[in-house]
Amino acid sequence: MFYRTPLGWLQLRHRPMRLVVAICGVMFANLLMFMQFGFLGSLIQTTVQLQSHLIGDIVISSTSGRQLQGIGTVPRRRLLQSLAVPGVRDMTEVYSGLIDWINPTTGKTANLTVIGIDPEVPVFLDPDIDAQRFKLRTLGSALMDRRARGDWSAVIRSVEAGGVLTTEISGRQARVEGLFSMGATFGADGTLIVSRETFLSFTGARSAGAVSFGLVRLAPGVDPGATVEALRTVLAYEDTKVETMAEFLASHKRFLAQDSPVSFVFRTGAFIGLLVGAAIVYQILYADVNEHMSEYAMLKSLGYSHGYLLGVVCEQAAILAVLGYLPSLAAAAAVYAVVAKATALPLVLTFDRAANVFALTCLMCAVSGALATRRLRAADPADIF
Amino acid sequence: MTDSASLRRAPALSIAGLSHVYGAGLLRREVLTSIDLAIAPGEIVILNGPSGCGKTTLLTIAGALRGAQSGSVKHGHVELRGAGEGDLRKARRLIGFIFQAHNLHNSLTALGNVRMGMEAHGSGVMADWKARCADMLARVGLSNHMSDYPATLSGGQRQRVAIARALVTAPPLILADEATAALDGKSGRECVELIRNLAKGNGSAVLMVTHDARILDVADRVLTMTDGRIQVRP
Ligand SMILES: Nc1ncnc2c1ncn2[C@@H]1O[C@H](COP(=O)(O)OP(=O)(O)OP(=O)(O)O)[C@@H](O)[C@H]1O
Ligand SMILES: [Mg+2]
Repeated sequence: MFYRTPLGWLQLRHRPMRLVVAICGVMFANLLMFMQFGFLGSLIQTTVQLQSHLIGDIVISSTSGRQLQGIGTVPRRRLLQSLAVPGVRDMTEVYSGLIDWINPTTGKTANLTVIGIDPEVPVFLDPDIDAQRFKLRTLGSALMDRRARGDWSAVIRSVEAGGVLTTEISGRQARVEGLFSMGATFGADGTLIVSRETFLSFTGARSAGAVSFGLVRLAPGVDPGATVEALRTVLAYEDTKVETMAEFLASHKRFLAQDSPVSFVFRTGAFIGLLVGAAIVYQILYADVNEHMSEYAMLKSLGYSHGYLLGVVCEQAAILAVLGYLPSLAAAAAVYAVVAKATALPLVLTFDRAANVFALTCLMCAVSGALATRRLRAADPADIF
Repeated sequence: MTDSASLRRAPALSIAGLSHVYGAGLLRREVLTSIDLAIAPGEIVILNGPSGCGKTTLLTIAGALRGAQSGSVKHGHVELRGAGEGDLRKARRLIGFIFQAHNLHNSLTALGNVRMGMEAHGSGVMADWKARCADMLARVGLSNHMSDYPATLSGGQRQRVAIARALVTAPPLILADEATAALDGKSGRECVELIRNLAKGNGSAVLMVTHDARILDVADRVLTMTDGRIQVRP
C-alpha cells in the first residue's frame, strides 16, 4: 500500500518541544475563544431568560430600555388604553427592578431581580411558578429562585421542608413561601417574584403608575401584526414602543449580541485569542520552514514540486489545528463546568459553538500556514551544490 | 575508456555550445564558455579544475536545477534548453544527485530518506518500495542502520544513504559534486567505488566533480576545466 510520507508530521515530531509549544499556543487561543463566546452566549441567554418565560402576545414597554434591568417605565394610564383596542383580550402590568437582599445563609448582600406581577393572572409559562402565584396574595410574600448565585441552602431547605422563611428585605418583613428555577444573570444573582403591592413596598421609591412593561394577550384567532399596528396608533408616544413578544425578545438579544459594550468586550477577547494563536502558529511554522530550507531545496532537486512543499506546510497547519483543538475542547468543557458552578450562569458547550471555534482554528492555522509558505519560495535547488 | 556499444546509443548527457552568464551590466560575468560535452550511458567522467572555474554551475545546468541560457543540453533525446518548470522537474527525477553536504532529511530515517528518492516518481513505482529501498541500503552496506536518523550516522554512512537514495530508481544519469570532500580518504574511496559499481551495474552515466586526485582512477575519462572552458587534451 502506497501512502505519501507524512513529512509535515515527521518534521513536527522531530522537534517535540516546539510541537508542544505550538499545541499549547493553539489550545490557549481556542480556550480563550471558547470562554469569550461562552460568556457572550451566556450573557445573551440569561438576559432574555426571564422574558422568554412570560405569557403574552404583545409587549408594551419604554423605548429607553433595552434590557430587563434598565427597562425604563411606561405610565400605567397608557397601558390601560390598550384594553380599548379591538382584539386585545386583557393586559397585565409587570414591574421589574433590582433589590438587595442579605442572604440569610452567608450574610452577604445579594442583588436580585425582583418581578412584581398580578397574582390573579397567569404571567409565567413555567407551571411551577404559575401553580404558586396564589401564594403571593399576601403582602410580603415572595417566590425565590433556587438556582440563584451563592449559597442559599438555608432558604431552600426551610422552604422545601414545607415551611415559610421569614426574613427582612429592604427593611420590610418578607416571607419566602415557594421556590422556582431560573438562574443568575450577569447583572443579578437571581430572581425574586412578588405581587405588585409587595414590589412597591420593597422598592419604596417606585410609584404604582410607573410600570416596567405591559403584557397584552389577544383574543383567540386575532392577528398579532394587525393588533400591534392598531396599538401603535393608539399609543403613538415617542417614549413607548409596541412589539410582538418575538420582536421584544429579538431586540433584547440583538442589543446584547451586537450593540452592547459588553458584547464588544467579549468579541474583542475572542479576536485577540485568534490573533495570539495565529502569531504562535505562524512563528512555529515559519521556524520549521526556515530550518528545513536546505532539505526543501534537496527535495526540489529530487523532482518534487513547489506544490508538494506547500502541501507539507499545509499538513503541518492542519495537524496543529487538530492537535490544538481537541485538548482545548476538553479543557473548555471542564472550565465551563467549573465556571457554571461558580457563577450560576448557563455555560453550555453547544455543538454550534464547538464547530464555530473549530472553523476559526482552521482559519487561524490556514492564514498562518499561508504566510509561512512565502518563505518557501527561497528554496532554490540551484543553490544546494 | 568508452566502449563502442554504448556510443551507438544516444548519450545520457550531451551538451553543445553552452555558455552561462551570471549577473548583468557591470556585474555581468561569463562563467561557462561554449561547453561541449557528451557522456555515454554507463560512462564515468570526472571533472576537475581550480576553484571558481564553473564546475558546479555546469553541474546544476546539466542537472536541470538551473535553466540553460544558450546552446543545448540534452538528456538522451530530451532537450532541456527552454524547458518549463514542469519539464525540468521531470528531468530531475531521472537524475541521481549526490551532494557534498546537507543532503539528507534529518526528520527521516535512512530508509525514509531512500524512500523519498522513489516517492518523487509518484505512486506508480511504490508497490514494493520497502524491499527495493532495503535492498539498496544493503548494497551500500547499511542493512543494520535502516531505521537510524542521519544525526546518529557517521559522515561516510550518511553519504552512503545519499548514494542509495540517488540510485534507488536506477537513474540514467548521476551527478555528484565534491561527494567525497567531507569524508576521510578511506570512506571517500569507498563511496566513489560504490557509485562506480552501482552505476556500472545499472548502466548509468556518471559526471563527478572532485578535487581529490586519489580517486581519478575510477573514471573512464577525466576532464579538466579552467575559466569556464573544458580543456581539450592532446
Ligand atoms: N548564483 C550565482 N550568482 C553569481 N555568481 C555566481 C553564482 N554562483 C556562482 N557564481 C560565480 O561563478 C563562478 C563559478 O562558480 P562555481 O560554483 O560554478 O565554481 P566551482 O568550479 O564549482 O568552484 P568550487 O571548486 O570552489 O566549488 C564563481 O566565480 C562564483 O563566484
Ligand atoms: Mg563547486
